[in-house]
Amino acid sequence: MKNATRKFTLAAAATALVGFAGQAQSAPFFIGKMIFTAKSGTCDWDPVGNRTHVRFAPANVGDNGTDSSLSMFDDWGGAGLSLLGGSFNTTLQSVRYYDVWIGAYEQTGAKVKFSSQTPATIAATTPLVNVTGQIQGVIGGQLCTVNFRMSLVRAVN
Amino acid sequence: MKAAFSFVLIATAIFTAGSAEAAPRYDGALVVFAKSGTCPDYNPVGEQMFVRFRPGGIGDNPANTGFTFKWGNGGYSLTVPGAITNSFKTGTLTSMFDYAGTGLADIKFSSQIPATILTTTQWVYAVGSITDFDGMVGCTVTFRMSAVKRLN
Repeated sequence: MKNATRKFTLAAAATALVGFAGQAQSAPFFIGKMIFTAKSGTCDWDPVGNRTHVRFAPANVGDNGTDSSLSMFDDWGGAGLSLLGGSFNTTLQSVRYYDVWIGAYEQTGAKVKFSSQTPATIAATTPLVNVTGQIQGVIGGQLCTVNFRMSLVRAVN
Repeated sequence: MKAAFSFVLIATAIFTAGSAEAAPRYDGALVVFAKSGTCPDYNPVGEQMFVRFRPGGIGDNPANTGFTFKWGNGGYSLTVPGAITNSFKTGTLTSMFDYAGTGLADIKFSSQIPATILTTTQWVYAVGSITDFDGMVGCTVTFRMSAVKRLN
């Protein structure tokens, strides 16, 4: 079941990761999946039911900085949202938004809120984060608002 | 500003009609955070994988449980009779890398939230272990995984 090619890839990845080992637990980030559960407004396409990989780094936890960062990916593209100098909460807040699809785009007007988050306070050792929330102005187009839920586990490195 | 990021392509690919509620399936991520035994090929601690999970016997799901864990370029699918419980259960393992392989592996969930999965359960979190991880006989890994319920 093993194969040399993949082993080589993993060995390379492992080597690369060793370089970051020092910051491991102290700058926690989470990986998981997001699913779009509903939409409202005028949407250019229907994102409901779509699932994306997500990576999330909450602000001010461990050695993390003061920005909250959330990225979503499929196999062929991705988008990154940063809430500068704050944490996601139950109020829609403006975020910096870039995506990579064909070329690179910065889009203005994006807003995000977390309607619920478990646990309410994330610590450097928190293993699991569950969130329901809303993204406005980018997914499905500028006039579209989507609801999502996501579930993530803390990465080891 | 024209072609803003579009998940529309995945939608087209994934979307089928949905009685998902009655046959809950989950999509998520897994992180290996510990190992025991001997893992001769590489240290799997820190591995991040994608997960698909179809809990057995819930709603219209078949009795057996499907648990797929994969990287972007290959992976494994484990089929276990009944539910995954807190004691090791042997499942049939299928791999897909340069070629298709078959084998056996044991899996358990030491803990699971929620303890009981219903057809309406929106997400599942588990800490568990898999034996003979990634073809390394004698290598048991412990992981945490979380997954959200699909709509379709």
